[in-house]
Amino acid sequence: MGYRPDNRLADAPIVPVACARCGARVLARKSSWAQTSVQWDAAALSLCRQKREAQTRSIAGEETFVGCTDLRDSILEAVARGRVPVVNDETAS
Amino acid sequence: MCYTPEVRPLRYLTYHYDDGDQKTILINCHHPIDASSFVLQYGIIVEKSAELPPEAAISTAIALGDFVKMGFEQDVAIWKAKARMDNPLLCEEDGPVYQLRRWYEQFYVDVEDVTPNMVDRFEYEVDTTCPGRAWREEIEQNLAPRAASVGDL
Repeated sequence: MGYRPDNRLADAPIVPVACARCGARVLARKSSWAQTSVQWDAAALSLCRQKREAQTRSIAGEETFVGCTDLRDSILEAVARGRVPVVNDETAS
Repeated sequence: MCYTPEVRPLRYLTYHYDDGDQKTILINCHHPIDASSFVLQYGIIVEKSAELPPEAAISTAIALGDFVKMGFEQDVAIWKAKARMDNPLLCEEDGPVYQLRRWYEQFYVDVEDVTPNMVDRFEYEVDTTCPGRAWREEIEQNLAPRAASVGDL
């Protein structure tokens, strides 16, 4: 079923970010300073070390991976370098 | 394809009263049964108050459970009155509607037709504790010497 692309991405696209720890490449977007979207694919997820650690920790297949803090740092660094725009940036000077 | 109900299978709600808190959990699931309808099931559990006498604890818990049920069924009434729009024009505050629909689509196709973009992990995080401006200034200061030494990558 084809949908019109998300109109919001026309104003501010979701952009590639690589994790400084494992090299996983995801797509990231920030609609505000507080909000972050991260689109993974299978290749990125298989590289993520925190994902693997979460799998080892998990009991009876229960998923405990809520997100990767290394990736989060890489995204924030990309934001600070201006590679990931913040759509409604209330912190911008 | 039907309109997409709110995908929030578990709601933990704690009601604050003068004489203490009351914890409730609402669990719901919905599964498609044809191209334009689904079955919705839900259950509610309420923690009995330890302070009240047993009979009062039961009746209070039942009353609160009925209240949660009423609230949820108000949401259901809204969903029933809605028509699906395939191409909504969205603002940022609407959240990941397209991504949710893309994920949800996997339940409306045969298993062999499920594509990676329907099941790939997507995170939508709102962190209101993020310190914003001060943090931004700090990270920019931290990056500056590195950029000077290695050049901008």
